[in-house]
Order: sequence, then structure tokens, then C-alpha cells
Amino acid sequence: MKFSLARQALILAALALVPGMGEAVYFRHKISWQSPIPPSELATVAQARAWGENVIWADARPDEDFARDHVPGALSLNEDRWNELLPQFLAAWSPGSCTSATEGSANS
Amino acid sequence: MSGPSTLNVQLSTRPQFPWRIVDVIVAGIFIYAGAIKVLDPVQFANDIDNYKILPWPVSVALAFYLPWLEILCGLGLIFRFLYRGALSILTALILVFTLATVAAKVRGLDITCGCFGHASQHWSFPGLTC
Repeated sequence: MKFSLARQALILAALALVPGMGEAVYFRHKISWQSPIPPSELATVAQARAWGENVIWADARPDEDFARDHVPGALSLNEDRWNELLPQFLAAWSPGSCTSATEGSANS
Repeated sequence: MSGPSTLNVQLSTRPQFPWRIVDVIVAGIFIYAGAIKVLDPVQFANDIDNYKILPWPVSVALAFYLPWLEILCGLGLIFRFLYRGALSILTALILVFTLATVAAKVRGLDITCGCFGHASQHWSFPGLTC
């Protein structure tokens, strides 16, 4: 085709929009445009309160935020002091232990 | 009419064989990469978001759009359809991606490049650069 380079690029860019939009429609329920966390993983405050003692809270915020206020019983586990904080976190939780609130199981 | 002008026309319209091979290989890589990302746009959106350069909604939009652009340009390369435009777009994509990767490395982000979706999760950056 004898179009200029810019026009060729524009045509390709425009053509790619069609399947792109089609895919966006197809996957519209699998992804949220507002937040990276899928809606199924989000919990409301009421839900969290209902869990009560059956969950371990990991607070990934920086130390100042954690010191200022945090969920009672929450364990701090942030990027800045990851190596220091990990052992005490693992003391309370181990991989594979059931933490699903829906099953209502308590952590040992 | 004949002579130099005919020769010029021949040189510019007959693609030279070695470059055709490069075309096909590069196009094949992009089509493969694009296809993998088409199948899992959620993962790709998260990979883009990991670079922490763009806002989330833009990451989602690009996750849906870029793979198709890659596939289309790859096809353009193979079938010599809008060839120069396809080549420019792919070059631009590589350039932008390289810049983003450098930015991520400089900021100390330990992330997967996301080029080939789930398949490239464990590749190190040095390996990828090679």
C-alpha cells in the first residue's frame, strides 16, 4: 500500500482498536476498571468486623502509619523492614493454614 | 525507460531474502507474545501496573489493546501489509518497553516483564536483555 508511514501506523492503530474493544466487552466481568483487586476479593468493613477473631491482619503500611493506628492485633509486615518482621509474622501464620473467612475456620 | 530505472524499481520492490527471514522471525515473536497476552488480559493489566508508571484504568485499557496491536503489526510484517507502519509501531513499542524496564530497574522494582504473560514470570532482567 502506498500510504505514508504515519498514515499506515494510524490505520494499524485504529484497526487494533476493534478487537481490543471487543475483548474489553468480553472480559468486562473478570476485571475491574477501578481497582486492581478483583471485586470478589474485596471485603466490606462490615464483613471484616464479622470475621472477629478468626483472621490475622497483616498491615503492609509503613511504620509511621502502623504506629499511628492499626487494627487491634494486626501484625506489621511492610517492605521497609520485611526481613525483620517476617519471622514474627510466620510465628503467627504459616503457609497452607486455612485463612478463608467464608469457611469460618480459625487459625491455630 | 530500461536500465537504471528498471533496476531501481526491482531493488525497491523485491524484498531481499535475509531480511524476509528477520521479518518472519520478529513478526512470529510479536504474534506469539500478543496471542499469549490476549488470552489473559487480567494478568497483563497487572504486569503493566507493576511498573507503577500508569494509572490502573490506563493499564487495563492497554492490556486489552496492545496485544492486538502486536498481532496486527506482526501480520503486517509477514504479509507486507502496511509494512512500514507496522515496523515503526513495533519499534516504538520496543523502545517504550525498554525505557519502562530501565525505569523499573532504576527504581528497584523487582517485577516480571510481562512480555510473554505467565511464561516469562521467572525470567531475570539480564536474561531478558540478552
